Amino acid sequence: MSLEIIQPGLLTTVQDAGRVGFQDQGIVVGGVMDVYSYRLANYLAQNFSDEAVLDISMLGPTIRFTEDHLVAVTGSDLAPRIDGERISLWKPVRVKAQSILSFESLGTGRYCYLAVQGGIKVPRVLGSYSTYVKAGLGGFEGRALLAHDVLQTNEVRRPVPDAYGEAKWRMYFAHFQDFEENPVVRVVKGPEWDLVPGNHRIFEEEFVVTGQSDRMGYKLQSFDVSFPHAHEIVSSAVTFGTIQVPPDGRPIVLMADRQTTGGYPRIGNVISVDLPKFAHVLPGKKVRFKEVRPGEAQELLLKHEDELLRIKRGLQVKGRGL
Amino acid sequence: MKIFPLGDRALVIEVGSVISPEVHATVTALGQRLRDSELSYLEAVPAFTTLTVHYDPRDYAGGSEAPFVKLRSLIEAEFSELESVPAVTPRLVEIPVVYGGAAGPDLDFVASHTGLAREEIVALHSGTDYLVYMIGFAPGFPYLGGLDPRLVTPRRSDPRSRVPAGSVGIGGAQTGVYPLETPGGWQLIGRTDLRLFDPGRETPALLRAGDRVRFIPVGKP
Repeated sequence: MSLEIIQPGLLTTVQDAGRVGFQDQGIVVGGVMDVYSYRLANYLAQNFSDEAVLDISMLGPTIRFTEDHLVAVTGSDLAPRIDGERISLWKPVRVKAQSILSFESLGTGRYCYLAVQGGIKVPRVLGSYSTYVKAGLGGFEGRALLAHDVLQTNEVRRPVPDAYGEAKWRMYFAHFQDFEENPVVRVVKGPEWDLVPGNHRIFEEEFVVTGQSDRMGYKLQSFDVSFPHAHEIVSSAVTFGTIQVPPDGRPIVLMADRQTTGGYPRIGNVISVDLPKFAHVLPGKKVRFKEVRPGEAQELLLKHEDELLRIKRGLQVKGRGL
Repeated sequence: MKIFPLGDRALVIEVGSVISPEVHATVTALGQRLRDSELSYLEAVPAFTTLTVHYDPRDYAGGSEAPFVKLRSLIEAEFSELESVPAVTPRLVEIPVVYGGAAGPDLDFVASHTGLAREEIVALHSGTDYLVYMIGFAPGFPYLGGLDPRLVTPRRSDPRSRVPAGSVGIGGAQTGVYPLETPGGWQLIGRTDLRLFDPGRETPALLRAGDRVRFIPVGKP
């Protein structure tokens, strides 16, 4: 079973939840930009462990399925079509052999996920399927997909389907699929909060996500405020969502392919449950930050995890009828 | 010891405020103690003055306290007496380097900047053991302490778009080895064939925090 890439889109890579356990060797975590859409895509495609999916950025690829397949598309709505016919996101879809998946437009968010039942078959490198392009590590040959690539998928037991097309049912994932163009994103204060002059204005002003934004980090700009300073800190660890303030005063929010350590003051950190929402903000769109306490952030995180577990179990049951 | 949250899935343990071999030894000892402990965490990342513990808040859920408060208390209880930790014997890693020529195109610039002969630069650079304070910036990239002050040379004003893997350079008061071909602004004085980063190895990074490094000159500059 395989997927033939007819055209690759803007930046399509094989990803999973990331490469954990090697940051002390300077190896980036990487992985998907929107972890909730990733997990839901897998569950909908009846993968209940962290299988490899396609992480699709802004402009989607065109893909031919060589055989019948159960797939699911989540994340930003890039208007996916099977053989020209619009399909829904957030639903399992049975596709026929030789059918072609294409994406017709930009969405209100940035990242879209395609999961296939069984998962994309790539070797595990340092415990992960994710692609880290800069070091040529993992994923499909350590790089973004190109036209004529052929991706294999893991074998699955496939009953002859009754019908092709979308599942007749729908589940709602309110918390996980609401991508506003100009969201309010919650942040906890960072270790060097006190070091940044005018720090409180980060919660008062509006910031534009600039064109200097990619899998590594999003550079922000505000017309009214920047935080120029002359502080360098002794390099220390950073994480997904860490907001660094370099000397030019324009904050950078670190994303999936961030380095493991950094030397700029850490003014704050986007909370885990709002990272997907933030990852979806397109260049030129605006974001506001709202302070929450670390305990509150963790309470939200645990609540979202409970909800995901409930959805996972529900989809395991639903899957028997697919 | 100060402990503060970094987001909602990591805690930074700060054991000092300056870069020194003593603070480094404490960070290393803390990492060792953490590995030997029963505490559940995903990974610990040592830096100059900090050890950052990435963890899953679900492992510390339940009860009235937030997960980060619980883990912080456990760390405080477990590691209050760090001084009593036996010193870890460092590994010495020798790195063969071809200095100068095509391998080290900036050796002449460093010579003119420092006023030292090329041979003196090689002798000073290879005549001391360096301490690996931490790995960061890029996979396998070591932050080394111990560069002779006479070798301090500013970075290039026009960074190279491609620095070959294995290049040994000086950037300000730092020296190091580029593990991968990347852009870079350091003055390149030599190159090694050793692979500082090889994803095919069980431990992809050649060096780890706490190692000692010695550069061994190979051939004539």
